[in-house]
This record gives sequence, C-alpha cells and structure tokens, in this order.
Amino acid sequence: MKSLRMLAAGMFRRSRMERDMAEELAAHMDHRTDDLVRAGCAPAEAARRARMEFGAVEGYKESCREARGLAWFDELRGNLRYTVRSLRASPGYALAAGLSLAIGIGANLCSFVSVNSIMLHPFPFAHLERIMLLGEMNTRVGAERNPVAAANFFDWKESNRSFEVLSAFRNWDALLTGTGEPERVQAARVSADFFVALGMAPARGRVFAERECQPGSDTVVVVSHAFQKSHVVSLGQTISLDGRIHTVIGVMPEEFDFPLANQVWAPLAFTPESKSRRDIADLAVIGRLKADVSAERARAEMAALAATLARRYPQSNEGRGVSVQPLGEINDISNRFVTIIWFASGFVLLLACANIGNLQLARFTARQKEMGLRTALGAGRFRLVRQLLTESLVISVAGGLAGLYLGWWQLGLMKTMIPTEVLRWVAGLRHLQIDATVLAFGFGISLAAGIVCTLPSIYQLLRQRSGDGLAETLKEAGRGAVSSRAGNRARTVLVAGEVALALVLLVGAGLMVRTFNRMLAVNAGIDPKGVLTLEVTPSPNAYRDGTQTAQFYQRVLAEMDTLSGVPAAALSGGVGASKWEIEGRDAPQPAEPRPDGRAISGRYFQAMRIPMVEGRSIADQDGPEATRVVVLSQTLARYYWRNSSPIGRRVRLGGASSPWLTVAGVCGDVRDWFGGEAVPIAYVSYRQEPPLAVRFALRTVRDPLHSAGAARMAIRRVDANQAIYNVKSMEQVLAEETSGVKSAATVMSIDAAIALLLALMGSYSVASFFVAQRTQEIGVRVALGASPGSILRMVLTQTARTSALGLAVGLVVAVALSAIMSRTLLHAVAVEPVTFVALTAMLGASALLAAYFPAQRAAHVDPAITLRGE
Amino acid sequence: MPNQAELLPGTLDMLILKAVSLGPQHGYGILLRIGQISGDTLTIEQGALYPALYRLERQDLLDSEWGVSENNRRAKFYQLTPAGVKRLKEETRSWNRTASAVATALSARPQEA
Repeated sequence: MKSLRMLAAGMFRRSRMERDMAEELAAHMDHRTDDLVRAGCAPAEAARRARMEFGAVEGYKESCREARGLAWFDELRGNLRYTVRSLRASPGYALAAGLSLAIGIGANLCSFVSVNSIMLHPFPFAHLERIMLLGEMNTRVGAERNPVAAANFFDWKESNRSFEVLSAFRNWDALLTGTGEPERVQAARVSADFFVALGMAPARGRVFAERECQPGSDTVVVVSHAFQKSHVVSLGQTISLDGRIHTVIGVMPEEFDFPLANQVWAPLAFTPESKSRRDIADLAVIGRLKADVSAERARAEMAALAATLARRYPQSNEGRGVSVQPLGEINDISNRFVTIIWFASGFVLLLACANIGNLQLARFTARQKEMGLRTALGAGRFRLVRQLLTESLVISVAGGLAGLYLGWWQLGLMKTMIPTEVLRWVAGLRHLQIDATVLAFGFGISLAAGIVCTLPSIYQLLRQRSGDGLAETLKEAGRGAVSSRAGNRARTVLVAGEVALALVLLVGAGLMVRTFNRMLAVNAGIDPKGVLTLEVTPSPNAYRDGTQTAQFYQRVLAEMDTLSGVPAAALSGGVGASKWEIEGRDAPQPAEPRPDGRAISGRYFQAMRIPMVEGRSIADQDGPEATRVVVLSQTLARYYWRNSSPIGRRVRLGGASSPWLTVAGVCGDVRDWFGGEAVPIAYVSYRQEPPLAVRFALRTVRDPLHSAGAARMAIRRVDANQAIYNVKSMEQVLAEETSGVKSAATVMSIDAAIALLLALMGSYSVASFFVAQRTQEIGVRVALGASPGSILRMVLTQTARTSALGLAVGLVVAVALSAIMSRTLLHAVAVEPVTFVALTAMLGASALLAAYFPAQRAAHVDPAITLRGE
Repeated sequence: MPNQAELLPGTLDMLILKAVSLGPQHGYGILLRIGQISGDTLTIEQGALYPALYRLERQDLLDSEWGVSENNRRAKFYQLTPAGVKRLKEETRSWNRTASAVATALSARPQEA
C-alpha cells in the first residue's frame, strides 16, 4: 500500500521528491561539516572534505531513485527528453532511419495482413481445425478430392464415429429472374445440418429445418449478406430461382463465406431414389470432427469404412477411398506465395534495421566523448544502453506509425487490384483488413526492429567499456578520430549482411518475375488476343433435355454468325469423362494421362487459333444422328499412338454404356497456365454431347469488348430469359487467373528494389565513414606523395572486399533458397546460373559505384587543411 | 583505520534497523550511531547509506518525517514501523543463531571432530 502511495506521489510530485532527496543529502553533508568544524577544521576545508567523503552524489542519487522504485520513470522521462533533443540535432539521421523503418514495417504489415486473413483465418469458423472436407478418391491415385455419391454419403453418415456432423452440399448455378435482367446466381444446395457443421448461425431469420430438406418443401432460401444488400430482399420475400418461387427465410452474417463467394443457400432434398444412387457422384461433403478425434484417426476410420463399402458394392465402389482434408488447408498454394512474400518483406525490414544499425554505429562513435562524459558523471553502462534503446525505440515507434499508414495505403491499392473472380478461389481474400492482430504484430515488429537496430551499438559499447578504460576513451575521443577495430568489424559485417540480403531478394524477385512471364508465355496454345467470352447456363426448366439444349446453342451460334466484325463464333463446355478407354487395349494405368472432356462447336479451333495437327476438326455436321467423333490433343495422341496415326481408331470417355467415339483429328495442345504443362483433352461435338453450361468464344476484328453488347443481344434474341455472365475478353480471363502470381511478382520486385536501395545506402555510408575516419591519415599520405588514384583505389578496395564477402554469402543463400522456392511452389522456374551471375555483378558494381563518391572526396583531400585540423 | 571490519552483505539493513530502533534519527545520525554502537569497528560509506534507507522505507520497514536536528538543521528523521520492529527481531534472532553456530564451529578443537 505504502509503496503504491509512494509511486503515485512520485509520479505526480516528482519534483518535490527530487528536492527532498537533494535536501536530505545536503543536510547530511552539512552535519558532517558541522562536526569537522567542531573538530577544528576551517569551514571551507570542512565543506570540501564532507563532499569528498560522501562520494559521487549523482551516482548515489541514482541508486536512491532506483531503490525508491521510480527510477525507470524518471529515467524514461530523462531519456525521452534527451532523445528528442539529440534527434532534433541530427534531423537527417532521424528522417533516414524513420523512413527506412516505415518502409520496412509498412511492407511487413501489408504482407502480414495476407498471412492473417489467408493463412491464419481463411474462414471465420470456430474450431476451424475440426472442420474437414471429405471426398471420394481413387485409392490407386490418392490425394484427390472427387465428388461423393449420395448413397455413399449416407453410409458414411450412418456408420462413422469420428464426426459430430457430416453434411453434404452441391453447387448450383441458379438462374434468378423477376428482378430485371435474368441473372446467374452462385448458389449451393445444402443439407439442414450444413450450418451446424460450420458452427454458424444466421444474422437474421433462421436456417433450414429437416422437414424443408424434402422434395416439394425445399422452396426456401438463406441469402448472403452481400446478396441481401445488392438485391434488397427482406425476410419473407420471395425470389424466383430456375423458375421456382423461393421464400427468403434467413440472412447469413457478412463474414460467412462458404462455399467461397456463395450468394444463396437452398435445401438439398433427396428422393428415396436419388438417395440410393451410387453411380452418380455429385456431392461435396464437410464434417465437424468430435473434439477428441484427430484428422488422422478420422482418415483411418473412413478408409476402413470405404473398404467395407467396396466389398459390399464392388461394382460401384471398387478402388474408391475417402479423402479427409482440413478445410483450413485448402489455400495451400496461395499460402506458399503468401509465405514467400512475408519472408521477402521480413528481409526488407532486416535490411532496414542493418542500415539503421550502421548509421547508429557511426553516430555512436561520433558521440563517444559525450558517452564518456556521462559515464564520468556516474551513468552506469546499462544506463547508457537504455539511453541508446530509448532513442532507437522512439524512432522505431514513429517509423511504425508511418509504416502503419503506408501499409494501410498499400493494402487499399492491393485490394483494388484483386479481380472479383479470384475471391472465389482464395479463402479469406475477401476479408483483408487491418485488425487487432495486425496492429499487435505491427507494434511487436516496431519494438523488435528498434531493439535489433541498437544491437551493434550496444555490442560496441559493452566491448569497449570492458576493454579500455574510461580515461582512454576520453583521451581518444578528445583527439577526434576514433578508429576502433571492433567498430570497423561490426560495420563491415553489417554491410556485407546487407549486400547478402539484397542479393537474396533480387534473386527471389527474379524468380517470381520469370515464373509470371512464363505463365503468360505458356498460353501460346491459344491466342487470347481479340477473343470475347460469355457464359450461359441454360435453365433446366426451359431446356429439359440434351436435344433442346443443343438446339438452343445452335440457334445462338447462328445469330452470332450474323454479327459483323466477328469472323468466328464458337462455344465450348465441359462434359463428363469419367473413364478413358481405347478400343482393343487394356485400361490405362493410374499414372497414364487421361483426357478432360470438352464439347465444342465447329469453329472453336478457329476462334481460339488452336492448330490442327492431323485429320479434321469437329464440324457442325457432326449432329446427333451422325457418327460420334472425337478430336484428341497432340500430347494425348502422341502418348498412346507413338508412331502411328490415331485417326479412325475408337475411344470411350464413359463406362460400358457410353458410345464409342471415332478419332477424327488431332489438334495442338493447350497448356495449363500455372504449370505450363500440356493438358490432355478430348474434344467432342456439342450436338452429340450437349454440355450443361457453355462459354461462347468470339474472335473479333477490333477490341473484343466492343462486340459484347451485340453478342449479348444475339443470345437475347434466341431466349431473353437466360442469364449471361462472365462477359470478358479472353485476356481478362487470363489476367484473372495469373493475378495472384502477378501480384506476388510485383511485390517481390518492389521489395527487391527497396533492398537494393538500402544496400547501396549502406555501402555509401560505410565508405563515407571510412573516409571521414581516416581523413587525417589520407592527408598524411597525400602530403607524402600518394596520388589521388591510389587513394581512390584504397577506399574502393575496402568496399570491394566487404561487398565480395556479402555477395559470396548471399549467393550461397540465394541458391539454396531458390531451390526451395522452386520446389515448394509448384512449377516455379529454376533460376539459371546466368541470372545469378548477372544479378551478382549488378549488385557488386552498384555497391562500388555507391562508394565511388566518398572515395572521390577522399582522393581530393587537401593535406594542409586536414593536418591543421589535428 | 585498522580496526574496521568488512561489512557482510545484507548486514547493513540490519544495522540501520537497529540504529533506528534506539530512537528516531536522521541519516547522518544513523551513521554516527552505527559507528558508536559497534565500538567504531563498523563504518559505512556515507553515500551508500541513503539507497539502503530508501529501500527500507519502500519495504515499509521505516517511516520518515522532516524535523529539526540537534544542530538546528532541517533533516529527515527515520523511525521503525511495526513491520520494521518485527523484522529487526527476526533478523537479530537468526543472526545470533548463525553467529553462535559459526563461532562454535570455528572454536572446535581437533579431538572434537
């Protein structure tokens, strides 16, 4: 209690306590003086002796303050005041240090926002680690997540002991009508316990009851916050989806985003017949693990369950296993990019710290005399350390605040660059924001940076004080030129480290940029320039079977052919290719390529500029009555018919009941944008195998987006009630797909540029310091006849030695890191030796150039002036 | 000063408490009194006294109050708090125990071992 009171008293009446203490000590000396006088001393001599006997007053005062428990407060105030004064005296240093930190911290905050939202909190669900995505998988291939057949799902649900809840859902491209233009809505049909499994309640209204998940009663929907806002629907209101009237019964909270970017949830209803199908797999499954069950245990149990089902239903379930994947891990690939960028920004901050450490070291050396004086006046060594720390913490906190602003600004910029489409691919991307975690992180790294910056100076301080005595320091400092071996070594290590870090970042950025460029280049399989795409999913209510759907497509294509400036209009759509079988051959091994199925119209290859290699293309004449035909992509054809022609051979894309398709031609490969690998594709005629949704592709003469209106109208003229969506140029589509890599490449390049700049600053400042420190020595050399050239060489040699050390270390680290990066990032390109050499040479040359200016200054030192300065 | 003994660590606090227990005293007076009651064998570095006083006050063992000294000077007088009285008793007891044990040990003769 009393100490608390003293603390309070000390805080608020500090000056009184300070006065009390001074008075008390003075009284002590007065009493002593009295005694000495009484013993026969002259008053003046007595006072002097009393002071001498007492010892270092300031030092004891310090100990008293410490004993009183308020030292830190007094000291902090003193340190702060002192810091402000000393920073005001050198605004250049304060600005340079604060700015480098602001840039480093800003970059870190921005990348940590991605880490926080994409890696740490991709979903807002409680106990995310217990939520699993389940799928069927081919046990021979493994590690894939395929859709689940309804009957299997119900068997899993019934027999498993690992999951609290197991719930199924299915994506549904719904057609919304009655609210102006028909619109395609991203919807999902979900079991009643779907929201329970995710542990989310609606923000308003309610979610589905079990009885609503029955055929006939399933005309209720829950809508997303965004949908509710954009379509202004209220509870109890009805909306028309795929021609059926649905009542809105609930609105989900804003943060609920599963499936990603989903707008409407409707009940998933099973008929007794659909419930027992094992041959059609079209469900996605999520489950919530029981609290004490691990993912591994669930995986083992589900594998055993799948084996039982395979024995019981060999025809459908032979070779089918269950994959169990934590929902929180679905951002796997984006996580790798996020991590790399986080590391890169961490390196930038480290570089900034090294730079500031260097500046501080130079300042520290210049202030050695002042430090010596303070020591003589009774300041302890740790007191000086605390003073140094206070100074750099003030800078780092200020830099952190500025960095917060920079990061906030950069984040805003970044968010505008994310295409909406991408929000559907990366969980958490929608919620990028600066929250309490990010702020805490920012504060933490600011403090850490402040401390790290000071370490070189502290090291210097402690070393020196333990080595030479105070008097030595004062004497040396008095001479003005201090050349401490330890200080020079610390500086050399710092700059070498900076050069090494900069090289690592440059190589990393080079790697990213090259990966990105290659991604743009690999799409050579098609020619995206001048292609307009539009997507349509004909409503199943209007087009009940394949024939009707195909007729709709055919009429739209006929309308599009009449458009001017459109030399080729075509469509493509995915079709099932569950099996791959070549007539007269064994079934392919799991590792052998299997094609994706794609239905196209006659001029698709023309519109996309995919070359024919052999045979003929799919033609508009390939109608339902004609012979079933297929065109294979080159890589696929080469794999199975190495030295012969596949033309005329027959293949099958489905089970035993599907028709044989005659190979009519072989076309050029289309490459996967990410990995650059050829995608094996089997193209069929859309009239023979009508897809449920299609993407029209129009080759245009001018800017493709100019034809967008006319293309829409062409579809409208056939049927005004179908939603037309994703109206984009093909180049836009590719830009969306590569936007993640592009932004990674951009950020890395910016980081590398900053790193380069900081490293050059470091090189410059060390060379300057080197010159300043040895001005007298240089003056003597010049006076003794050294040529300016030899002086220049001396300074540059010093820099070259330091840089070479840094480059050597950096090169080793960069080679190792880029190998890791190539491996962890699927298909990232490897860096060729020539790139390493070029970047190393560039960095080395720049470092020398940065040192050239101070060296030049040194070469023209006037010996008369420097020697007089002694 | 030939007869000065090194002060064992931790004994300064005890000596201050003892000195103050004999009656409220200011810093310089405490110093003199310690010299006096120890027969001038124990002396304390003058400045070192004050951090100890501040520490004891913070531990609630001492209380302080401004007053006027016998020299007619303003001085800060310290006195024991009840906690201080108790602490001094404890310290004295434990010191005596240790001291007599050490003394016994040091006066041991070969045959007693």
